[in-house]
Amino acid sequence: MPVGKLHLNRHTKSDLFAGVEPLVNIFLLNLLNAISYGAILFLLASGFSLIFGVMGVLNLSHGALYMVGAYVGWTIAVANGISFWLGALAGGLVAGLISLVMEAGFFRRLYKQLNEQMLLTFGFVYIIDNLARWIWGPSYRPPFTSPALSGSFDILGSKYPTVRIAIIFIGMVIALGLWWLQDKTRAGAMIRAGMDDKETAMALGINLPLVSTVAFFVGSFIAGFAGVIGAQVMGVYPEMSMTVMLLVLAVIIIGGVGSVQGTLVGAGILGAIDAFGKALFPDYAMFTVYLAMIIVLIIKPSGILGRQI
Amino acid sequence: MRQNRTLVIFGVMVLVASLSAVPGIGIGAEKAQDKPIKLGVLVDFTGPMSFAGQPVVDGVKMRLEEADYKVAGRKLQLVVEDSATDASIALEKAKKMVERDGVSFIIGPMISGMRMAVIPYLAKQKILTSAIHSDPLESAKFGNNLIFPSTLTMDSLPVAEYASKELGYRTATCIGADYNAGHEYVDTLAKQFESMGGKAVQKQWAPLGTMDWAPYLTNLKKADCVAVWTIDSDIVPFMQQYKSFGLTMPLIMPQANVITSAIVAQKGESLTGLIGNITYHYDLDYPANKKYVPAFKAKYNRLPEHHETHPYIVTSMFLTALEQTKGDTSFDKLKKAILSLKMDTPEGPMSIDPNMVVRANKHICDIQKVNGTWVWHTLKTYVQPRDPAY
Amino acid sequence: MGRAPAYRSKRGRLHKLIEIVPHLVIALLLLFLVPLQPTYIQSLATKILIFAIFAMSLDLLIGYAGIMSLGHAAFFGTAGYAAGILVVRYGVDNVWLGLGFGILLATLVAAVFGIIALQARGIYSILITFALGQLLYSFATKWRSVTNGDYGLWGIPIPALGLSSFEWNGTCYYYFVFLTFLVCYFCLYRLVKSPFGKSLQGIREGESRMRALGYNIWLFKYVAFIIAGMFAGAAGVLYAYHSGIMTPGDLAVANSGFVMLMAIAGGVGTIYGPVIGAALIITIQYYASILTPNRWPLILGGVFVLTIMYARAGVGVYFFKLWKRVLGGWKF
Repeated sequence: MPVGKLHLNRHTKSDLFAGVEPLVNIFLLNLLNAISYGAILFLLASGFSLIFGVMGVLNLSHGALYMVGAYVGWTIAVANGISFWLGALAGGLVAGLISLVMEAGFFRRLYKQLNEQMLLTFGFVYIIDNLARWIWGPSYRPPFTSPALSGSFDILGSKYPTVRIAIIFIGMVIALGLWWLQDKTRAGAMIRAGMDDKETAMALGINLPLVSTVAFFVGSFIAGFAGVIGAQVMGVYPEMSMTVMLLVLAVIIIGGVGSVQGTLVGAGILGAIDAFGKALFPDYAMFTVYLAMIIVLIIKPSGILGRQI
Repeated sequence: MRQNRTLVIFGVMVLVASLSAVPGIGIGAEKAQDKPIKLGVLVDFTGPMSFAGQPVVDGVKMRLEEADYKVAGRKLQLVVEDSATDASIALEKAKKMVERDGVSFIIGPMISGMRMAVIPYLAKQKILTSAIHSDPLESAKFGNNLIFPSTLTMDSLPVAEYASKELGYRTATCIGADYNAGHEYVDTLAKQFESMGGKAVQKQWAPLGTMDWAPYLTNLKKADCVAVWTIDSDIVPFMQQYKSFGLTMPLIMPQANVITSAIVAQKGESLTGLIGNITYHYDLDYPANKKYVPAFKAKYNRLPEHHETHPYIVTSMFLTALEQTKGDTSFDKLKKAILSLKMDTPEGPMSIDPNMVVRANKHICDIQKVNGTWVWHTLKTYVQPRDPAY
Repeated sequence: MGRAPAYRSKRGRLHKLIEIVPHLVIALLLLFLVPLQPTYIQSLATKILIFAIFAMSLDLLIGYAGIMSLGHAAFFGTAGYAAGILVVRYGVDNVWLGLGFGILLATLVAAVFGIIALQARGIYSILITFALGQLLYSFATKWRSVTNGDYGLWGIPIPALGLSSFEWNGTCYYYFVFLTFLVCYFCLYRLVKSPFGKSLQGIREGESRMRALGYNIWLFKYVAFIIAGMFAGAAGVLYAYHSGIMTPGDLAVANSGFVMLMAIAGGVGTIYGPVIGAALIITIQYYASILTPNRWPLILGGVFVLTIMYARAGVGVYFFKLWKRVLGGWKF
């Protein structure tokens, strides 16, 4: 039975932008796209920014940790049918644990050698990628979510997926949490002190190595957690570690590292470029991101809100 | 000292590596006595296409085991290499397979771009090769390429015809992956659609790895249908987001095999409304398929996809041709035998045209729930259609 | 003091000998042993030499100028595409013109990239090189009419040498690449031993000191950038002819990372280090992937991690030091 013929003659209201919808709707929906994509990017990049700000290490395996978190979440939520949120937590924990192994086993022995540490993470990418492929197999896992979140919201007569609203919400919560941590807690003050001036911070009795380890763990936890949250839209597959890593680099290049505000700005701008760029210049989607990066790098190399590292 | 030990380890590795280069000492060097017929499989186990590598080996092995690794009184041997989704590595491995292993036939590489790096070399060496998932027609000019299961054009034409002639669609808005294959499939579909009196009102291109389809969906113009094609890791989020945006235009898709039966079973609910050009799904109603599916399931404990079935059939063709040449693997005799093939396969009847393009059935399918499972469901079969370009 | 100079000069000559002998041995091996191997081994050796040039050019940046670059493959790929387009789309059947055109284009790109990349310091410089490289990669993918997109520019033949009735084959091309490699090696060797090279090292070790001495830091780094781009371009052209196909991936960050692996594993700050690194990485990748088509990246990643942890100066450097220690034990 040809399914198509049934719909041909019916004007369904939910056919977006049949040319009849007001401009406001188009703008609003693209805006929501921008914000939800930006939220995902923020989750991706905030952990990386924290790690880089505190330890000075470009952790090129951050994307791989994101992917591992997503796989762990999938195993718990889909393969074993247990709660989605538990899967997200587990994803974060596993990623955090891996980061501890990296730190204790490798980074600690290369104390202060930032270039070597970065290169090490490059080698880790090969290893983590292939191990994940070994454990979970190379096929693509479709997006999954908690049953409560599957479905759509009605916004001004158009439908918008619930998961995206949830992602915006989660992103906001984490952003607020990190900002509170950064500006309103003693721990945050210690981290900022370490970022600004290592020697003085240590002279003041701040246990920087411990702060570094904790920051590394927290940053990686967020990565793994974000992996599961993002999987609601993207799914999970082995190549995603590279794709994600490129996005993370784009966010911190644009927004700057070391502060929650910077990551928010970077994620927001990238989300907007993606959403509106694709709407206005559909043929140049690929370029806009790289072009934006280069423009920012020329004008203000440390990023829009970046601290001078 | 630890440093010295590491040094020794490195030194030994390099020494071993360089020793393997000396003929006669190498890993798996061949003795001159018994000469089995060697079949080469060159696919991606690493890199973006790695998900399709192992299934190819599974399909080939199944057919070889059915033949007990023997044909026309000679033994059969399988040589498997990784092309790492890299054209220059694919060429290196092809050289190794031809010059060191002495293969008579190479299945793969999978990606058209990588095939174009390897086919000319193989043509010069007089070695036959076969595509696994279609090739552009121009690759026929080298004379050693089995274009299986069809040219790239035939992955779109049937569904374009179905959409405009059977369903009466006049307008289509197109979305494709922004790379060669994406353009090939969607542009071809749009062109064919227009040649039948339709009109492609919009074309959008999304980079590979697009996981967020919101911008494209929000800007879709209204048309009778949406023509879409992208790779599997992007198409499922696309379909889900399409539904969750409440869009209801029907979708047509060339080369819809990227949405495997496994994905359909899981996500069938969100894939309804899609009509695809399918070369193989496990429900196809051919006698050969009715035998093949249970045998495959018994062996691998899962249902077969086109990933395994295509190489299975290609291996079958290779073996059948060898039966005809009585084990003679010389290029001209083998090619002649292959050109004369007429087989009943799990994908239907197949024959080979003089330019080595395979003529296979194409099925137009939609997604339905049959006996409680979401499956590809055949709506219409185009019997061995021919690419109008030749 | 009368006795010391004579002793030192004899020692000096001995040191020169210690340095030259491994070079000679390897050069002789490459000259005579490789062509006796089956053609697929020769092809592998050709690839190693090509990447050796590529890695040496990166080493000029990392090991001598102190610039870390994640976009070096951009020059490599641009030259390769330029040479490929020249012969495939314009039918210019001359290998020298191909080399010239490719190197020229790569140098131009390096000149532009250098201005942008050297605006910033440290980590931001790295990020800029990454972004620039990826931008070029997306050009190659998008500009399908010229580059044939991600199918790759295939069917690149080795253009004519200019000698009548000369036909290329694998062995001849190997010798061609070997000779080019020797030329590049020699040039780079002289370059790093020259005052320019020494100044670069000075900049890498203490920029503020050099600035205090009145050196124009930016100019030195910029020139180094361009020269590195030039040699990377040479490697790129040779690669295009060897491979017969150029794909956008040849420009991408994965390739930049790959060649960086070679330079670091072999030993930066030396000219021979990246050569050893190229041989090591390519050989391991090749044989490991034959041994285990599925799991070879684990082996490669493992080797890299081990190198960073235990042989930080690079495998090539360690071998050389071992060689020196062995010889130094002999009493002459």
